[in-house]
Amino acid sequence: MKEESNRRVFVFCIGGTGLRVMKSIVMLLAAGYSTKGYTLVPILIDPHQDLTEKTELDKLIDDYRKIYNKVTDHDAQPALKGFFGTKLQRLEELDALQNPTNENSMADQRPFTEYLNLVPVDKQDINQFLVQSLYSERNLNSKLSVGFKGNPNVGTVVLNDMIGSSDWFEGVQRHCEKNDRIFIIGSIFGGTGASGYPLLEKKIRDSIGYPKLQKAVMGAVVVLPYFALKDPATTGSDIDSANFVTKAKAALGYYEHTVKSDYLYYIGESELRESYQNDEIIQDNPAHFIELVAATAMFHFLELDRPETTQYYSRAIRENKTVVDLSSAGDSYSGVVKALTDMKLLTELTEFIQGERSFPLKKTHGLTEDFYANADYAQLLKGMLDRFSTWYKQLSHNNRAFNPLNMECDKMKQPVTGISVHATRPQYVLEMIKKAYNASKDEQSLQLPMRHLLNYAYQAIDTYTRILLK
Amino acid sequence: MSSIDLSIIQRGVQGNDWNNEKGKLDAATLSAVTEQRTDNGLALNALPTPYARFFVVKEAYRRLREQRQNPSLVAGIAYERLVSDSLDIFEMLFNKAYHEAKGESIRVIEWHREEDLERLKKDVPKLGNALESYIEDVQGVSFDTLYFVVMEIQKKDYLLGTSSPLTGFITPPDLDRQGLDRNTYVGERYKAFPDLQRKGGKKSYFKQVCLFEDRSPEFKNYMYDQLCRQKVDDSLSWLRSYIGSFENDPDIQKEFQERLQPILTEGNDRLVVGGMPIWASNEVADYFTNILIRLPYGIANENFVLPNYKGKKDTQVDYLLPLSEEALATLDLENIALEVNERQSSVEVTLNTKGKKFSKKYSIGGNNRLVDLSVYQLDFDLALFPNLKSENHAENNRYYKLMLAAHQIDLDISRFTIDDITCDFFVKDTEGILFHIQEANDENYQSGVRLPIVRSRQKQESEKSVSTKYYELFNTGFTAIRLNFRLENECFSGVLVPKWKTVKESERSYIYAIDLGTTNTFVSRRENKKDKDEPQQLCMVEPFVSYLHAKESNKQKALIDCWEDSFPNNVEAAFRSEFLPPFIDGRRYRFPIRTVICENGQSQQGLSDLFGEKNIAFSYGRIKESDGNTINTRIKWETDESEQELRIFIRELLLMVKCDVMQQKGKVSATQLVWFRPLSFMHDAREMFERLWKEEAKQVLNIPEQQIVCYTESEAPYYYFSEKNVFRSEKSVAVVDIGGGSTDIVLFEQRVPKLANSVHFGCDVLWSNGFNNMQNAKNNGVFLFYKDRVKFNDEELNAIYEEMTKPDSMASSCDIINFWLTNRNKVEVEKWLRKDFQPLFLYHFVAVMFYLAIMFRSKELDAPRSIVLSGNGSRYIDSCITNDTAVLEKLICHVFNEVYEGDLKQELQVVLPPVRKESTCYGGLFRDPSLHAPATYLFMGVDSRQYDDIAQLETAFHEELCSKLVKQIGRLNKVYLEVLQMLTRELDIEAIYIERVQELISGHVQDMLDKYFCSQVTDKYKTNQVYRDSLFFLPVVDIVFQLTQLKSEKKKIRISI
Repeated sequence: MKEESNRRVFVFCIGGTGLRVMKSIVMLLAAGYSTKGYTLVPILIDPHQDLTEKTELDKLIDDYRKIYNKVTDHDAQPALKGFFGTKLQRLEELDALQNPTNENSMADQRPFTEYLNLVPVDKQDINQFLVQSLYSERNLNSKLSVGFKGNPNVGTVVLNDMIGSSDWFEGVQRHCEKNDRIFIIGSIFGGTGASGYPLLEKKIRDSIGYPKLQKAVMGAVVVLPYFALKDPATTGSDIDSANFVTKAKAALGYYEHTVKSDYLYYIGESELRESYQNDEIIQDNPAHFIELVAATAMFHFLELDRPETTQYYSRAIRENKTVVDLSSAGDSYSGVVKALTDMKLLTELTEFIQGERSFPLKKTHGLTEDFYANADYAQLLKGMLDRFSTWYKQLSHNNRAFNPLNMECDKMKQPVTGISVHATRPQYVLEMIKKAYNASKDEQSLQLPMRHLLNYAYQAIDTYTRILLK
Repeated sequence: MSSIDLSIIQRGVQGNDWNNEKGKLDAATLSAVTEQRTDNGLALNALPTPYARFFVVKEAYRRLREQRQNPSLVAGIAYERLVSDSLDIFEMLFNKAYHEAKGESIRVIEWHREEDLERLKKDVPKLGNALESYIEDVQGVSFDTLYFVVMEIQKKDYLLGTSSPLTGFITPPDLDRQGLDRNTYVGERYKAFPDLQRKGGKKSYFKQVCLFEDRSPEFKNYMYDQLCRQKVDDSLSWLRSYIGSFENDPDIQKEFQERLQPILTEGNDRLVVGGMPIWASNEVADYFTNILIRLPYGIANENFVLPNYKGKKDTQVDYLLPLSEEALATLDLENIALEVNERQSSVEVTLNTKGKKFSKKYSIGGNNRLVDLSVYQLDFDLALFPNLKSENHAENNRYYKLMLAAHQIDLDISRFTIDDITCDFFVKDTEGILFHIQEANDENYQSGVRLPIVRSRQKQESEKSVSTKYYELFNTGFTAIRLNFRLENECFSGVLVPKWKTVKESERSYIYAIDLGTTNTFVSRRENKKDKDEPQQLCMVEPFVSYLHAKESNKQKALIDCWEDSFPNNVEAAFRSEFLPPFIDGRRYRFPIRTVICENGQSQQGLSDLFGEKNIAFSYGRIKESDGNTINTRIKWETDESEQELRIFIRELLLMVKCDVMQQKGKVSATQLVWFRPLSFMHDAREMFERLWKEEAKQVLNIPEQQIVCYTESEAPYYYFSEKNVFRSEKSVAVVDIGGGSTDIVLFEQRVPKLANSVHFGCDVLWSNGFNNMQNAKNNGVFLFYKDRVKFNDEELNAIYEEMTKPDSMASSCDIINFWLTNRNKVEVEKWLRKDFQPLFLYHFVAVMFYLAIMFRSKELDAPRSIVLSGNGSRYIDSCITNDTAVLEKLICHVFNEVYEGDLKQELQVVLPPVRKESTCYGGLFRDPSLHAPATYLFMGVDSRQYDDIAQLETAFHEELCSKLVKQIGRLNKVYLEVLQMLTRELDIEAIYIERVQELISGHVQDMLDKYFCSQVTDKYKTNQVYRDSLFFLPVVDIVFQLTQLKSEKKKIRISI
C-alpha cells in the first residue's frame, strides 16, 4: 500500500486491556515498526482516573512525542525510517477545544446513582422498577472513579453520556479527514472495553453531519480472555474470571448482530494460563504476548484497503509453547521479533558508544558527553529504553511468555534465539559511523544529536537484523 | 506440536499471520467453547448494554440447556439460580390465585416505552438516552412494553420479575443471593422480603433453587405446552430449548388439558411476553375470603345475588358474599349456588360448584371472622343507577353511578369517615374473563371507574348529617362490587353481585318532548308510530335504581313507598336529596318537576359531577335537603354561569329517558328528542342550549343531532289542540302562552304559524317585586299579606317554609309563593288569592289581552277567531279569576272592541285547556318538523315600526314613543276599569277594591316609563343591540306590583277610616 502523508489513524484504547495494547504499540513504534505514513492519534478512554497504567502510558506517549520532536526538530526535519519513525499526535494538539477524555464524567468520584441523578424519579414512578430490573444496588452505589469493575452495563451508560456530550469526540468528528482511519482496541470480557467498543463503533457510524468520520475505514481488535484473576471469594471482588469465557461468548454473540467495523480482529487464549491479582484499583498487570499480538493488528489494518464487507481476522502461533520464540511463534512474527531485536541492540549500542572516547560521531554529530548527560538523553531516550527493557522482561516472563531474544547474548552477538545474526558490536559501531559519513550533507551537523544517534544506529542495526525478515 | 489459534476457540487458523479465512466467531462456532462453572452471582454482569441482565438470564438458560445435554458442562449455582428465579416468576403467575388467596397480591404493571421512557429521558437524561439508544439492540428484539411483576407486602411494593423478550422473565439483580449463602439477597431492599412458599409448600421461591425437573407436573406441562407446542417468538429460543429438553420427562403428558385464564395487567391488557401468552391456573385455592360481613338489615334480593338460607332466614340481617377474587374469576356469579347456615355462634357458608362442595365456617373472634356491622353502629346503604343492561352491547353500559351513604351513630367511638368505605368493581368480558376495573382519572382512558367523589361528610355536631360518596363507571358494565370497610383499624371486604334487569331491544322507538322551563320542567313521551295515542308525562312502573336494602314487604303499599319507606335509619335524606328516586311513579314522583338543582354547598363553579356534586332536586319542597346541600332555583339561562347546572339537569333527564326507553324495550339509538325555547331567547342562550342538548344526547343516548329538534314554546300547544280538534275554526288562532318569566304569543292562520311575539311578562310578575333587583326581595304585597298566615299540615313542609322565610334566606317572594302553590293541596292559598287579589290577576290578564289586541291591530290583522290560553302561568286565570270561558270571552271581546273600535266582526272562542303547560310538550310531539318557525314580530306597544337597535329606539322614545305609550297605558287602564266594573257581579269583586285600584293604577306613567326605560333598556343593553322585548310592559310591571299592595293598603285605609 502506497504511503501517503498527513493521514491519521485515530486509535481508541478503551479500558485496561486497551491501554496495555497501546503500550505495545508505542513500544513497537519506538522500535521502528511502521504505520505506513499514518500519524497515530491515541485516544485513551478509561474512567479509572487513578490507574497507574494509564498515567504511565500517558507519560510513555508524551516521552515518545518529545523524542520524536527532538528527532524531527518539531517536524522541521523528515521523520526517520526506523526508531521513533512514526508521529504520535495528541488529540488536543489538533485544536485546543478538547478536554481530556477522562475529565468530567469519566473522572467522576460519585457513585453511579449520583452520577445518573435518579432523584427526579418519583418513588412511585414505574421507572423505579425499570432501574431495579437493570441495576443492582451495588451497581448503583459503585464509584466510577475505579472504572466499571467488569460491569459493562454500567459502563455503557456512562460512556454513552461521556462520548455523547464530550467535546473531545466532537474534536474527532471535526478533525477526521478523508483517508483517515479509526482503530478501536478493547477487551470484551471486562467492563470499560466491553462497554466502549460497540458504543464507539455506534457513535462513529452515527456521526451524522461528519461523513468523513462516518465513512472512515474502521478496524477493531477485540481482546478475548487471555488471563485469569485470583478467586474473587478471597478478594471480595465483583470480577470473577470464571465468567470471562462465558462473558466473551455472550459478548461475541451480542456483537454478531452489532459489528460496524470494516475489520475485526480477534485475539485471545483458549486457556487462561496466568492468574493476576484480583484488584480493580491497582490492575498492575504485566505486559502480555497477547497484547503485543493485538498491537500488531493495528499495523496490519493500516496495510489493507477498504473491504466490501466486514472482514474478521484471527491469528495463530506455530507451536503451543509456554515460552514462545520466533520459531514457535512462526515466521510471520519476524517483523515483531526484528523490532524487539533492534531495540535491544540499540540499548546495548548506545550504552557502548557512550563510553567510547574515540567514537568519531562525538565530534561530528554532537554525540558528546554533554549530550548523554543532558535530560534529552539521560531522561528521555534512556528512560524509554529502560521502559522497553522492563516491558520486554514482563513479556518474556508472563504466561504464556514471548521471549524470542537471547537475553544471554554478549556484546550484541546472536541477539535472537534460534536465528543467527552475523554481527558483533564493533561491526555495528563501524556500520554506524559508515552510515553517518555516507549521509547527505544535510544530515551532517552538530545539531539534532539524538536524530543522528537513532538514525545511524538504526541503519547499522538494520544492516544485520534485516535478515530476520527473510 | 501443532499450531494453535490465539483465541478462545481453536478453529485451525492457517499460518501465523493475521488471517481472515475462518471468518467471524458466531454463536454456532462459540458453542464449542468450554466454560467454567460459575457460583458467584455477583460476577454475572456481562454485556455492553444496559439491558445486560436480559442476556445474562438468557446465558443462564443456555448454560443449563448445555448442562442437560452434557452433564460434565456444569453451569454452576449462579446460573442455576437465575434460571430457577426466572421459572419462579412463571410459576408464581401460574399459581396467582393460590397466592392471592393467601393475601399475596401479585400485580402486573405495564411500562410503555413511548410514555415512560420519554419521562425517564426528561428526569434522568443520562440513563434515559442510553436506554433508548440500546433498546433496539436487544438482539434485534425491540420492545415497546415491559411488564413488572410486583408483590405488595406490608404496604411495600417488591419488584419480583420483569418481562424479557429473551427468556420470558428476569428477576432484578438485587434478588440474587450473596455467594453460596442462599438466604441473603444482595440488595438491601429485599432485606425484609419474607419467605414465599411455592404452592405445595416444599420450597421457598428464590431462596431455594428449583430447576424445571423439580417443579409440579401441572406447571411443567403448562410450560412445555406453551413453549414447545404453541408458537412463540424465536427470541425465546433458549428458554424453549431448555424446556424442550424435558420432552421425555415422565410428567410431561401428550396433551395439556388444564383450564387456564389469562394474566391481566393493571391496564387490563393480557400479559404476553415474546409471543407467549402468560396464563394462570384456573384451579381455585380458596373460594372464600376469611371475612363474612353481616349487615343489620335485609338485602334486596331482586337487586343483588343472595345465598340461600338453610332453615328460616332472619329477615333483619343479611350477608355480603365472602367470595375471593379467584372465586369471582371462576364462578358463574349470577347463578352461584351458595348456602348460609346460621348457627348459634357461627355461620357456615357452603358453595356448590362443579359437583363439589366447599364450605367455610365463620365466627366472631374465629380465624375466619364474622363481622357484624351493627356492632360498629354504622347505618349504611348503597344505590345503583341504572339497574338495566341491554342485550344490545352497542347501546349498553355507558354509564353507571353508585351512591354510598353512611352514618355512624356515635362518631366519637371510632372516628369513622366515608373514606373508610371503598369499592372495587369487577367485570367479566364476553369470554368470561374477569377484569378488575381500574380507576381512570383522566380523559385518556376509554373506560373505567372514576375517582370516587365524596359529596357529604358526616359532621359530629349534626345528628342528621350523613356521609355520601359516588363512584362512576363509564363505558363499562360490571359484574361484581367488592365493598371494603376499614373499621377500628381493621379492614373487611365482602362482595355484591348486582342482578341486572336485562332488556331485549325491539324495533319500537319513542319521541320525548322536554320543556325545560324557568320554574317547571315537563317530560312527555309518545311512541313513534302512525297511530297517535294521547301523550302522557313520563311515568314508569319499574324502578331504575337498585338499592342494597330490601324493600318493605307490604302489599297494601305502592311499590315506590315500599322502597322509600325502608331506608336504613339516618340515610334516607341523603338518598332523597342527592340521588334519583327509585323511579318516576307518577304519584310520589311525577312531571312536571321544579327546575331546581340540589348542590353541595362547597361545590365550585365549573366543577359539576352529576350526583357527585349536583343533581335534580326531585324532593324539592317536600323534604329539607340533607346537610351540606343547598337548593339552586335560579338557573339563569342568559348567562354562562348556569351552563354546568343546565348540563347536569339535562344529563339527569336524559339518563332517565334512556332508562324509560330501555324499560319500554325501545331502541335507544332511534330515540328522538324535542326541546323548547321561549321566543325571547337571546342568541347566545339559544346556542348554549343547542350545544348542551346535542352534546348530552350524544353522550347519554348516542343519538345524532338530526334526531334532536327545537320548537318555540309558544307555538307547540297549538299542534296538540289542533290534533285534538278543539278549535271551532282554524282560520286564525292565537296561542297565548303565559309562563313564569315570559308570555309568548303566536298567531296561526290556516294551521300555519305566521307571527310570534314574546314579552317578559309572565305570571312571576304577580309574585315579584317590580323591578327590584335584589334576589331575595320580599316586598311583594301578596307575600306580605299571607306570610304569617300560611301553615302546612305537614311538619317537613313547615320546616322548609321556616327556612325560606328566615331573614338571611336567599328565597325570594316569588320562590316562596311558588312553594305555596306547589303544595296547594296542603294550604288553601289559591282560595285566598281568588278572594283577596282578583283585581290584581285581572289586571295582569287584561294587560296581556290588550297587548294582544293592539299588536294585531298594528299589523292590520283581524282579531283571532280562537285564543288558546296555555302555559303553566295561565293557571291563575282559572284559579284566581274564573274558569268560565264565557266570562273570559266576554272580557276579551270587550278589550278587542275597545282596540278595534267596536269592529269585532265574528264570534271569539277562548280555549282554556285542562292540560296547560303539558300542552307545550304534547304539541311538540305532534308538530310537523318540516314546518318553519313563525316570524318574530317585535312590538313596542304603539305601532308596527321596527327599531334596528337601542340607539334608534332611544331616539324614538324621547321624540314621541314615550308619550304614545303613556296614552296606550291610559287606554289599558280605562279598559281594565271597564272590565272590572263589568265583571263585578260575575266575579264577586268588592266595590271598595275598585276605588283603591283606581288610585293604584293611576300613578305617574310618564315617570315610570322614563325611569324603567333607563334602568331596563339603555343601562342593560348596548346601543347597537336590538331590543327584543316590549316597552309597553315597563309601566305595567310596576302597576302590577302596586296592585299586590292592594290588600295591605286596604287594611291601612280601613284603619285610617
